[in-house]
Amino acid sequence: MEVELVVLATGVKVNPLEPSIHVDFDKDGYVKLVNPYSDPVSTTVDGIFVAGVVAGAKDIPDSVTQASAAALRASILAVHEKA
Amino acid sequence: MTEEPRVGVFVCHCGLNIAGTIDVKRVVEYARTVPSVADAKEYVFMCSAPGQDLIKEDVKKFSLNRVVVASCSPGMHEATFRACIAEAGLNRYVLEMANIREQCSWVYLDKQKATETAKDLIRMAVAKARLLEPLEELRVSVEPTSLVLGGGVAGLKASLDLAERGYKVHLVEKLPTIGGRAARLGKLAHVDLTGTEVAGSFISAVASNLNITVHVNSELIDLEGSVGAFRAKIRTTPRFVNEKCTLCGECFHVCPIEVPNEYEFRLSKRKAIYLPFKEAYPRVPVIDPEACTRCTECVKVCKPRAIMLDQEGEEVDVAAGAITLATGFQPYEPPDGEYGYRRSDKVLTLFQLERILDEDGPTGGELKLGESTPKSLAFIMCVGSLGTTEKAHPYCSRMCCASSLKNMLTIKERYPETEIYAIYKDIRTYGRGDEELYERTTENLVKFIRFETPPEVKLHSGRVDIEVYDATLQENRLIPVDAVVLSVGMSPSADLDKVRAVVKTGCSPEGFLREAHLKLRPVEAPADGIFLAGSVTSPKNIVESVMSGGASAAKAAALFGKKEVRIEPIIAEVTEEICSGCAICIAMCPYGAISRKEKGEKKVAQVDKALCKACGTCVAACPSGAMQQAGFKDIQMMAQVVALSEKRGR
Repeated sequence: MEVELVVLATGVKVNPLEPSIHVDFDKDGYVKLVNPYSDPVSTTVDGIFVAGVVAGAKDIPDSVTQASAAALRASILAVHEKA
Repeated sequence: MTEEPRVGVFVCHCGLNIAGTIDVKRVVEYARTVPSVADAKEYVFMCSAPGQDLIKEDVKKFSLNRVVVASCSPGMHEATFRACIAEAGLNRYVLEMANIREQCSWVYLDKQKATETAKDLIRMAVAKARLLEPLEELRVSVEPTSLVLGGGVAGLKASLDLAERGYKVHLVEKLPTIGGRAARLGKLAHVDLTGTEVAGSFISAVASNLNITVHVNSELIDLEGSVGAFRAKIRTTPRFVNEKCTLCGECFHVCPIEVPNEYEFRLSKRKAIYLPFKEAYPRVPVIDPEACTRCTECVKVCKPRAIMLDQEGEEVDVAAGAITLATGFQPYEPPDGEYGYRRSDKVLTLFQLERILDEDGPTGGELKLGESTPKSLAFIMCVGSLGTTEKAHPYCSRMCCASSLKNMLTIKERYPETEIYAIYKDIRTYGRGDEELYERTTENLVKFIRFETPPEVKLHSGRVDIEVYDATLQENRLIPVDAVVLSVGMSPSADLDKVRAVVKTGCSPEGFLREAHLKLRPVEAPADGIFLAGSVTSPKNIVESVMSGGASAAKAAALFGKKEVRIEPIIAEVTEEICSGCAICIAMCPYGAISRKEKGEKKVAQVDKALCKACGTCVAACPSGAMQQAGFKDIQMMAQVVALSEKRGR
């Protein structure tokens, strides 16, 4: 096949986190979720939440969705701490 | 405003974005000559703090009562300059923007032409600004209660997160139990959990949360109001059994009526009085009014006297600041006979297979069809998806590949000798960890056959033949198997149109609900205060549904945190003297914002100010010109057009 341009549809790779954040990771380097089905934003450390590709390759809508979900979980924690 | 218009014109350089192509000095000099212009100024960045100060000072110094900013698009900075003139003491709606960047300097290469066009745009903006009127914003106080429609995992998660955040929730489910479709799934991929357990954990959390009121057997039948202040009417059909029930089970035994059990996808039968499934909530049986013959056998054996055959339905009114639509999907239903569907018990859907492999299912988890265990199985994938047949949806249903592969592995684990064929159009294991399922099925000797033309299923007694053109080997193949599983995709819920008739919101060509923005606002409906969760917008798996449930709750919580919402007054308004009440506008309005009211002898249109989204459709449709858009009235628009045709001052 003769073409004038080749486009490589490359995949994504997770950005490594600061070593001071002691959450668990899976073998692909994504942050591990305690319960991916019922609580898909919580890590192995209480109070640390995830959003976007750090918790698995995702597109924009799924990243934005997870971000909102994570924000609310953090907000719930903050409200309960204050009370 | 009756006073003489005094317009200030403020021309922005936008660095060199504008000043690089347009001779700003000449434009400013020209602007000073336009009628009603009291002063004109230029600045390098009008949106900056010094730029805004310049506007504020001029408003005072020249007693301006209209402001024209010639800069970028209103989408970019209208809000900025509205706030700026409000600080200077003017009404925020006496601002007009002339877009001399996107619609002028960025378009022209020729400086002369660009400069002349900028003059035209400013002359037009001034002509409109002269006629602008101050507008009053509406304020609505927000009721911090959410109405969640749909008791599947998305609706349950949305309810739980809001309740945990401290807000009240009314959860409305049309079936007699919450739990949704996930509650009918067996072992899930990647975890040692069943769908029933995941849904069950949500169900028990909802049941014990005092902030959540659960309305099962219920539907939203009417909705009024708008963001912050919805008023919903919920109709509950009778259950005929009350909480006194001890679940002794006597009634199930004596009931003589048997109908197909929809919770087991018709694989087994249930009585007319039944508990939908073991983890159902409320844990109270229900009588199916369509199946029941009122023979009263159940009433006779019920010791706690919990059965009331004369129970009536009820309607309650609920005030809510936000609504979350989480009414889910339904499995694609192949037409009768397609791939042998409904013509043989050897042809199953993926949802039926889930029930068969579930320990709580009709066969106790044994792979049994009737009396026999199939020794060979073919999964036909992409049924109802990827446009494989005429009736199939054009889209990919996302969850069926991973779900099919997971079930193949379960079968291989429990019945290693079973021969399995995966006849597929495409394998899309995009989810986290899902590609491993695909790898493991190939390791477990599942045979993959790719089709381009859908396979044909020929039913024989005791055997099914599949004829398929193998697109990889490029040859026809005949595959005899004991049973066929149709990996059916997801269709929009059949009730969605009913929901849409009450909650006015748009749908996509596929029939799912449409988001406010596909990428950036995936859990918001175009109308304010209405949020979307789960597969109501597009096919989603459990994880994605739960995530969007949480996200929709976040959006509702953010709204509740505001206490009060301001509604822009750039909306349609009716000149009642002209309106003939023809109602064309009512049919055209995509937001259900227009109704008719009596006005003396005649009926006239009226616009719900909180519902109107200022799309202008009714204004364009109105045959008499009675419908006018505030800030974009015919007279204001015409003034702009006339100004365009006026001879350019040089």
